[in-house]
Amino acid sequence: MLKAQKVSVLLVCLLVGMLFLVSGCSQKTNDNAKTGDKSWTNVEEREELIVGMCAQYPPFESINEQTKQPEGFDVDLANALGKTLGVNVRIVDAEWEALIGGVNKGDYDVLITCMSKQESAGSNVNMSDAYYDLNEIIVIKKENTSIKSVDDLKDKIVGVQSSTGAEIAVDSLNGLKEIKRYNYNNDAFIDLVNNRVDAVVVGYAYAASQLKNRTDLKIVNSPVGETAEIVMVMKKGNDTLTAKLNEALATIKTNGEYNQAYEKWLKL
Amino acid sequence: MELNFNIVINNLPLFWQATQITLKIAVLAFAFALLIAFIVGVLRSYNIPAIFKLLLSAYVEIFRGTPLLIQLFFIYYGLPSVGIIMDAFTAAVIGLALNGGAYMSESVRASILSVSKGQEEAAYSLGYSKLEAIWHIILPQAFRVAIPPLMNGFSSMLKETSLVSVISITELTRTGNLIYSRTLKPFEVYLALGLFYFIMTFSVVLLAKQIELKEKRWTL
Repeated sequence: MLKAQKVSVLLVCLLVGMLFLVSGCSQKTNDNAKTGDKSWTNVEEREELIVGMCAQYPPFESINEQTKQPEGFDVDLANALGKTLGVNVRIVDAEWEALIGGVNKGDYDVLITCMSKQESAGSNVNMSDAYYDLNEIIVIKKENTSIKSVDDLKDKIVGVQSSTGAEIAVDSLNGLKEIKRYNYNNDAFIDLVNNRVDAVVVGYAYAASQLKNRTDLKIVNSPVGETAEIVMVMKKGNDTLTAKLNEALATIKTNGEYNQAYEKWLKL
Repeated sequence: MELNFNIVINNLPLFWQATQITLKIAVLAFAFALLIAFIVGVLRSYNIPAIFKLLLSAYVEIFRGTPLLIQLFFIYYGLPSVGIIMDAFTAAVIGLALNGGAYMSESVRASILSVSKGQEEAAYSLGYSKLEAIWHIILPQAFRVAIPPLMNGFSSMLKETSLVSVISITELTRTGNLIYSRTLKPFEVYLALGLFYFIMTFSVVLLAKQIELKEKRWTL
């Protein structure tokens, strides 16, 4: 009788233990099922990462005039990430306004399109770690030696394109002599060349792509205003994919592939 | 929709500053345009050497026949390529004055032509010289006819100053756009903007009415 009791207690213990084990397992699978996050598994099974971008923002992304294919820093970055993750990369060019909607709908796995944290914050999405810090910077004439940093803009006439991040940055500065607002950056550069403004503030991307071949102007790499952190954007809740991309980003930053893309597209 | 006119009230100092710039450009440009219109209009109404006639009609036709926007771009961004560099304010006044002068010279010419030939002949018969006849007999009568179209010219010029925002002058329209992009309140901002322009042009209309009334005393 006593023996039988002992056995039954043992049995119960065992049973309870097994239940724990099983429930422990099922708890885990349940978790995955609850959030339904198959974002990485899907990419892995498909062996293809679909990247959405608006290819109108050189040097980050633009359509090559000869090949008609997208090219730029973001394209190289996407390919490097794909290589690290062991999947192919398919790039889809779309209108800027349609990008967030598309990634939420599932048309793309991720947006790599020079989108800043600030730009995407309002749309309730997953964001990767920042892969680039984009600043507004100062452009001056080559022979100008008096402006070395943003502080030297005091009592100077500064040109800027209206309704841009650069304008917001310049408006935040104090002590300028005058802010001249232009419809296009190009107009501001004409005035810079003709000494009608002392300096022009533009986004780094614009400076990098437009000023490479100019000998009369130079860049003062002193950030004006707030820095925009550039991130990859995914659908809200696609945490496994986000984690994988962050991992891959860290990898290509150390193995030199990130630097290669940087040297090719963004270095001044 | 929630309307919030406080943003207009809060930005009144900015609007006022910009209104001053707009008025300054408009009044200066109008003064120069009037001078140009008077000279060109009078010369084109009388027999002058063919070469001058050709030059003057070329000026009028070119400035009437091309958009003011392009003229401003050309003066401000184009001319530096041939070494003529001026600041934005000067370029704005010159552009508006040349454009307005071309239009208004036609008003001047029309009003001179509206004075009957008999007036001129009568002046000669009283021993007036040609210049005296023009100055004392023709122009005073033409002036009366010219007031309404010239005032018209001023109000269009005042509104056309909104175009000078393209050469980096922060006048009234540019200021409105600026406030709009900060507040994202188009209804309030542009309504206020329109109101400011209207107040300015309407004051000019009232002024013109006063001048016309005064002149009426001489009408038969």
